[in-house]
Amino acid sequence: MTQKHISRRRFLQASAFATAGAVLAACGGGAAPAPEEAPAAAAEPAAAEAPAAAASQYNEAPMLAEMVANGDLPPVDQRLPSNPLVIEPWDEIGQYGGTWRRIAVGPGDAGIYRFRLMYPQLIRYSINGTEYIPNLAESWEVSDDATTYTFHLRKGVKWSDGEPFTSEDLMFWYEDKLGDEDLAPSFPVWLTVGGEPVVMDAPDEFTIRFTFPAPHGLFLTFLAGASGAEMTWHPKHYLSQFHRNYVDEAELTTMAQEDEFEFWHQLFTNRATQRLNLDLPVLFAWRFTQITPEVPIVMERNPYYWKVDSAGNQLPYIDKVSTDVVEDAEVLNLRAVAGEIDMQNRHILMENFSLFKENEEAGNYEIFLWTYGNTSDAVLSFNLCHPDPVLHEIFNDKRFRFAMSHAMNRNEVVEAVYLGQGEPGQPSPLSTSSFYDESQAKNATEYNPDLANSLLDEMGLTEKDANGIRLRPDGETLSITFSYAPVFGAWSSIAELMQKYLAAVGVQLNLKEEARPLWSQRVQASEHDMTVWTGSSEFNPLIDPRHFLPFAQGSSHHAACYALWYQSGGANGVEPTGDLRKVIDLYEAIKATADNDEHHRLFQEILDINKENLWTFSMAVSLPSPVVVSKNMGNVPRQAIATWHLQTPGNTWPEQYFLRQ
Amino acid sequence: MSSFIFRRFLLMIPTLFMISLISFIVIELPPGDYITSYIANRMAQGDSPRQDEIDALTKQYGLDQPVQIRYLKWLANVVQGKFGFSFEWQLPVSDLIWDRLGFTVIVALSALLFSWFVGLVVGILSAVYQYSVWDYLFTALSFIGLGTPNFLLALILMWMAFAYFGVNISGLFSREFVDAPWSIAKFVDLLKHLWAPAIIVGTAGSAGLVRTMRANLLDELSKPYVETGRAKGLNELRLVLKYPTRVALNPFVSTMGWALPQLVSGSIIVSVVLSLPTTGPLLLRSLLTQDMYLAASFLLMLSTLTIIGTLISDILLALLDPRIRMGG
Amino acid sequence: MDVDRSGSRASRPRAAGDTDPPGNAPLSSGGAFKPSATKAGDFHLDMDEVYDDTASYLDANEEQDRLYVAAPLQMMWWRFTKHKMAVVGGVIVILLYLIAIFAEFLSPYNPETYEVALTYAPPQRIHFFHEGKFQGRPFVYGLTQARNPETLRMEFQIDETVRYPIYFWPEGDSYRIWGLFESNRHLFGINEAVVDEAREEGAPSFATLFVLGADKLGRDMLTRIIYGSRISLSIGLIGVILSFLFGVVLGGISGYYGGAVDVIIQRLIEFIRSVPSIPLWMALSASLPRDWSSLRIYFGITIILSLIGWTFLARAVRGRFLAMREEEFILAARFAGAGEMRIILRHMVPSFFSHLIASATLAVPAMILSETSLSFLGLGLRPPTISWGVLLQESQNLRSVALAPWLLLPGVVIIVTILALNFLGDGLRDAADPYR
Repeated sequence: MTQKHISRRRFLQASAFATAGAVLAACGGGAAPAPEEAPAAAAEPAAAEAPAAAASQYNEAPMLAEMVANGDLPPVDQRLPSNPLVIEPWDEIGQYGGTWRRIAVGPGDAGIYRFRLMYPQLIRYSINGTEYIPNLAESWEVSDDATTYTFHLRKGVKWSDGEPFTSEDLMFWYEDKLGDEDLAPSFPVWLTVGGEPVVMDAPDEFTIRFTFPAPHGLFLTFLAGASGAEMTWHPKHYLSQFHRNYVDEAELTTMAQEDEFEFWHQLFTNRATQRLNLDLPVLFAWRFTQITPEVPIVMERNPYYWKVDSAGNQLPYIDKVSTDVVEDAEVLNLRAVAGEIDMQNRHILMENFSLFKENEEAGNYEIFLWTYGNTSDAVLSFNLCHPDPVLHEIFNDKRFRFAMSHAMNRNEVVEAVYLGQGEPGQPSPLSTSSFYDESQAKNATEYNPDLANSLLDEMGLTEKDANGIRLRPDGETLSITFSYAPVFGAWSSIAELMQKYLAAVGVQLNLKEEARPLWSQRVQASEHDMTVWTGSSEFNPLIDPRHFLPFAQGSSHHAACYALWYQSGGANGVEPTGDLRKVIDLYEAIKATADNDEHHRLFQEILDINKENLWTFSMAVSLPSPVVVSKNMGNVPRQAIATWHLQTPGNTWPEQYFLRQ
Repeated sequence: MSSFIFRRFLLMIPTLFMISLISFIVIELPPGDYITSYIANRMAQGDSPRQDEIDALTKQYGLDQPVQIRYLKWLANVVQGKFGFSFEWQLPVSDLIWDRLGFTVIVALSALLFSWFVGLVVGILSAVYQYSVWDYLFTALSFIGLGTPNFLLALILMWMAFAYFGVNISGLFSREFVDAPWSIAKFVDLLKHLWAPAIIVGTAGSAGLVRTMRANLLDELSKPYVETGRAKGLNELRLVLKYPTRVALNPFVSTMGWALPQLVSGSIIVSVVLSLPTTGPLLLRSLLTQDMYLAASFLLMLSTLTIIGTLISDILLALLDPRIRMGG
Repeated sequence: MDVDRSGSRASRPRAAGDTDPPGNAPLSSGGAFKPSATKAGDFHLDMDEVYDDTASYLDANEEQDRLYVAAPLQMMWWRFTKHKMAVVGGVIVILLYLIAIFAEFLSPYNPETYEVALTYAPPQRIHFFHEGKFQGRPFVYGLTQARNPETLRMEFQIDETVRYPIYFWPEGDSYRIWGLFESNRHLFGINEAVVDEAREEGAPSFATLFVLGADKLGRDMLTRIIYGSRISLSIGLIGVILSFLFGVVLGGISGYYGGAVDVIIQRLIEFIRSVPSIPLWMALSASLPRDWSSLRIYFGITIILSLIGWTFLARAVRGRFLAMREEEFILAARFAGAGEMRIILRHMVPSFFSHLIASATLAVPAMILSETSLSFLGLGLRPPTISWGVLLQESQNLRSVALAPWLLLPGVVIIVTILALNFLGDGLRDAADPYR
């Protein structure tokens, strides 16, 4: 076992480094991927000399100081933990105050804040996802067999109502939330190994331990991503009053029905949802002060937030986050152009880049181009589980898949759809990732209709009908339906172009745009011919390798039936054979070890098999993700990776953004 | 008169019942349910719910019960003033709909007023100056209003207002007033925003009114009493406004009833484009995510509103024209 | 038998006229009829006998009858021509439908012909003069493009060094008109041969004729609008015919029978009208079977639109019926023992058919607009199907309005169409109504 005890001073240094995007030196758990490049100036170690020891050196926002003076709030050193997380701001020490204006599309967007803006996980990823950084846990140990994970919580962290945050709260989540079948109908998959759930226990107030029945080499990978957020949302001292383990269930049901709920668990879920319950204590930088669906969505600083900057100023700098809600993305675009957004990445689409860029001066903002954190926004796949035996055989012939890939004029797509940005490529780990393999990204991306034609001929699909469409072995025309849900703008353009490319090699492509639920049902049941979806956080392909192996029924659209087999532990679905089986076994082997080098070696094998088979393909990779940043907004990095599992913009530390007053 | 109103009220009950049924059927008609779209959403975030979880959720939301049971349960609750639970919002439906219904009524009524105003003025002008340039011009203008797709007009107006006047006409309130308690300033702010949806939604309806007004007024103008008045040397403007216009107004009242559902429909699309806090966007969304109780309740409430609108117009009409009362 | 004669006589003039009401086809060629049974309410008719009788009758009085029959229609035509805007509207409508019919030939390109380098190319001006000299033949200049590295926007320059003359009847993209005849001749366009020549000489500019600009994949907007008219105009027409059938039958029954039937149908109409139509559309179109091809979806949507649209026509029909029920010639027909259905279809419908045509004309625009609304909501037709609604939906965003406003042109076309149809309908109605 690698003991990872870090002295406070050493830790402060480390976290300062880490926040600046440098190596987290203390990570001995073996789970840390290769170091990422350190941005030049920000990595100065001088910044790490954080004066954290003396409480009097902490500063607080004027609005809080006033409350302290009035006796409404304890002094800042009593609110902060004994060793607050110290953040070295990206550019400069910020100023307190101001309201950060954002715009949501539909009031439902408020639901993402507890993930994306807050990033409250025990540990978290660095800005590019290459490092784990301590967060609510200040250190952790991993047993050598990767079955036991022990986290040491930051001492003295307080909920936004001033009550201490302890391992009890995490146990409440485990025992009373996950353990209650009404509240959690099924156990989260990421906390299971071979279908067996984790066992959690709390040796003391500030230690929490996760014990798995077998090695779980990817636990930290998941914990630092989106999955790890939920466990930090449950203050036991508050929520136990709505739980049937603590209060009589009949009484709860009466309470629920008074509020027009039907069951007690609806009341509990309501009370445990931050945007619906202002009384719910949080560990976030800002807490809701307005219940949705009231608009705007308003959040105010949490006076007990447990992070400080390198000058000892309690974070966040910004007083308020106010999110106005619009119902249509075009209104958002208009208001962004009018300069009504201080910083936002969500709903800012590349297809509108020219519009945003041309209005930068007028709107007093700047467009940053971050890196899109998924391999591509359009990963295409043929259904290897197709129910029709003829198409099944055709799709499962890899010559067909290679032919399709070579039929695509990717340069043209990049011009027409991606404004000339990005480059032709197949689904692969991001180029910033330590898992990146260029030969995977560039595999069969060359535009070569002749090669495509000869591959199809070689398959025996030589007969053609009057329109030049190839005939299948059973004499029918080779007609494929491309079904997609209209979720991202570019898909219909890509589909229309593909229709032409495929026609050029004698394959008829019919386009079918479907409502999302319909489409979802269809692909889960493997009833589609071909479809498209985005990549998923390929900055670290181990989190969600949906396009590299039959990973999940709902998202591995090339092999849903095999994924079902994998997910159900062999109970349902179709047992994969050959290479499809091999990649599953390899991923299982990855999960069974916490050794970082082994992860890389095994995943490279998965990529090698992918190169052979070309199960999924895409038009372009290395795509940009635009961000609107007001010229008044400071400390927003110019370069970052934007994706769900990095909780963007959470990975860029929104608590240290500030507004120039 | 009171018996007439009473009879109409009685008639409302079966109609409302029918509407509640249809509202529910409309939600049930598309394949899939809320769970399907919930799963689709989770998938978009990179999650992959398993079958046992899906089954459990279906049970928890009561979606495993047959549709007639769910309908009856919902109906029983509606009668008590409860509208069920919104899956997506994790909130009782009642918490979501009232504000939005209020704003919907405000938008629809101001659109109605606008189209009445246009209908009246343009209708009179084109009747008095029949077959003149003005007649053609005004008729053409009102047809353009009718012919422009609402959503397009809204978007163009929004961009023009921003690009040329620096004004933001989306929403119903400016940012500083959204959250503020009601005051004179807030009301003025509302008026500053309300004109845009009123015009956009209203233009579509005004063409029909112009046509009705023109036709009715022409009928009246050819009647002997008008000739008599003219022969007596009455001022032409007063002559037209005094009696013929009044008589020609009757159909305005009678069309109000069926103008309302059209205005509500029209406002749904415009509300989405202009981001108005009305029922439109939420209803649209709830239909897409199959958040059934929310959608059904919205449909029920909107239809009820339009039925009440029809009732009011019938009563007004009966007050104006005794013959209708008798015919019932 | 005398009564019988007079009854049929009263009904004859309109029915024997040039109008050919749908749903009445087997009877339209004849004037008089002779019921094989004299008992009122008997629906049985001997068709052969009817036909024979008609033929002999027409032979006898042909000349005189024609004049007598033509008069009201001619009067209607006179009244119609007096309404100048209506005539203009009528001409435009006819032109639009002709354009839709001959779309392949009239458009300069195929709607699928694309060039990604020319995304969002602005409309090109057609010139007659080059450096002050008349060229004898209209032409366009070449187009060069480059992406602005800052804004990433494709920017276009006119290249005045090359001129591409516009020819009538040039060869271009090949097509199969109505799926039958193959050709590559278009009404107008740039000559392919000239383009090829220029390309061989290495002209740096693109040879295109984008009169109305290009869309997101560099496809000609004019061509797409022309092709879009096919679906948009026919959806209006078919939808109205369907709602017409529903409306006439149900409205007729309601007005003719009155009583309980009337109350039920009126409640139904009121009910359908009180439910906001958009959610109804949404639910109905979402429930169209998922496996349907785009053609079937198109028909499905047409039916959905007419399921809601019929109520308006039904009301109009009912009103007419109520008024006409008591007219003498109807009473006479009833006394003569004509069947109910026969009275409705044979006597009543023809007598206000022209009025119905006017109402129907006025209902077409609503259908066209409904199609665009459905497309806007993402529920109607979807690309690659081309309709005005689909084209408009693609331009329904800020970047099109701000950066490529020519994408909104389908909207202008819709407005013109609706304007024309409305004027035409107004004129028809004024002309059909003898009391105004």
